[in-house]
Amino acid sequence: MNPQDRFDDLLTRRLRTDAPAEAPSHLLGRTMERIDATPQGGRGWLTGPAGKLLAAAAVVILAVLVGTQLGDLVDRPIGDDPSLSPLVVPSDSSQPTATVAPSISTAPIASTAPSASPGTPEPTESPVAVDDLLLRVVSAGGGPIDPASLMPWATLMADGTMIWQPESRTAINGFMTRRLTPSGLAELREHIFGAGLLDVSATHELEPQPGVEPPGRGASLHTFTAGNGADQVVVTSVQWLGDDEESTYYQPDADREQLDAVAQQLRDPESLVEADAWTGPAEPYDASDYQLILTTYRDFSPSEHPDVSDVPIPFDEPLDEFGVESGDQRPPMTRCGVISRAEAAQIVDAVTAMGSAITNSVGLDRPTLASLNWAAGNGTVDMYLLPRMPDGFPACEDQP
Amino acid sequence: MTDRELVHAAAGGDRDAFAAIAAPRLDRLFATATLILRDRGRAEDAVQEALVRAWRDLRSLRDPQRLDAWMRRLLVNACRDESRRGRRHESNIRLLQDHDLPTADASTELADRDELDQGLLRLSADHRAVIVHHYYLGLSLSEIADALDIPVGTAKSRLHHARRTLREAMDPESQRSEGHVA
Repeated sequence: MNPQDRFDDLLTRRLRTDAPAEAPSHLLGRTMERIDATPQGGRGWLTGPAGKLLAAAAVVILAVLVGTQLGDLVDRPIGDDPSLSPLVVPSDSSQPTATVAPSISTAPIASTAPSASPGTPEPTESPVAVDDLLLRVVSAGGGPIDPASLMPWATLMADGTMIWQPESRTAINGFMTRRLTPSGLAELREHIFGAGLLDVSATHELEPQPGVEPPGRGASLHTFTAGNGADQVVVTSVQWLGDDEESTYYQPDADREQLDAVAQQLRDPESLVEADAWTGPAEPYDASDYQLILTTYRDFSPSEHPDVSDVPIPFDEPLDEFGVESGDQRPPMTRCGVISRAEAAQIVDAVTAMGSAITNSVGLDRPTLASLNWAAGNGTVDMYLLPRMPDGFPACEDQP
Repeated sequence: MTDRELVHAAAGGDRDAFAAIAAPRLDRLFATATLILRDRGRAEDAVQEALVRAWRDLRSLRDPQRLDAWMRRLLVNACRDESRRGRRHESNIRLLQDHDLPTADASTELADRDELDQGLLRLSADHRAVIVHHYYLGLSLSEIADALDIPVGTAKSRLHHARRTLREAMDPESQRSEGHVA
């Protein structure tokens, strides 16, 4: 890579890294409060009956927007986020695949088969019914959220399959899986659900002490999803910031502290139950299918990275037509789809061969990340390949 | 409902229609303002101000297809004003998140990024706006000129100056000896 390209690449990445993924959740509301007190200037050019009809329809759109886009946002200033790994080292790629698969491993796998059906929406059918999910823990926030950061720390299925991502501050670890015996599952369930904190949906936010202005800082949000269908419980809880900071700035919240402890402990579930609580050894997680996310940058300073055409992405049409739209649909465009394990394996092999210049995490048992040139679009593309959990998480609509 | 319909409704005084215009653009506006101002608190203020101005002057937008370009221009103007007001908040810009950047030589790149940060802080808000629009939003020079309400030639010279400043921050010796920037 020549110095100019390296500079452009570094600058581009730096800006993408610094850009917050979300606006604070209060921003729109506060803006609208100001707008309520601000008269419009000039003469309106559409104030007739049509405009009033459109306005009525807009109320519906707003309700949807608020419900789907703003309702889940958490206002969190960006800053140090102790939950995020400070350094990622190149991975040794292609981990051996696990044989301890969920009981559904022989079930047919839904795939977009993108090459056969360009632009086809992502099939969300999962090989396992969603009601097999006992608990999922996702912890993210405190800064820009990328697709890989939404991968769950832990997933526990009703058949006793436990999948977790061991904590590491130096690398993106691969997911591990291990099956609990019935008594082991009961033991772990008691540990997780015994306190009753996941019985009903709830939100646990930071509550500053009266008269105290806490410093700006990043904080992660734990999201616990328990159960299924109409009975599903979703509990969100801001991470515990440490005894000193909590006691100085925030009101006591024992539930939030306990939920943080549960989330952290589930990154090492083997420490929570007896050694005989498992049916076999832990293995790298071998997913049945994978979520492929492509963020394309057309007409955007290419680097000397390999071209995405050297990666066997199972899609013949332009990459920015792959799968379904995901997230914000202004440039850069993000597309999302689900591919089979076999298709994912070919991508992992290709990325592994390209080496650490383009990736810091690659393997079937972990998020595979790659930054590639995109000659066909005169730009670049960021690729995320994520192993999906047995319940089909994440689906494309789960991505920001 | 299309943007055009929403713009028409909002220009007719409908606040909900305006909220429907603003909501899906909020994240991108906030990210852009944060990168230009290097401060989340001031970025919030700038986004609010830009949206209030958009509401107030929406009737002057004759071509709804230019809505996004118009809002970019309002945002840059609001950032410029905010920058002039001086530093009123402590910066919340997050520290480097190393996992975001794949690298073969982490130590070299860490040093480069520190220097890049210093270089970005050294730039004026106007020059940072050019950098952000080019490298983050991926806009062409003519689009940048439109967003900043400046001639294309000025956009080009600002981009040149900003890049030179940043490259000098990263490698002062080579820049002095080269005496130019590609």
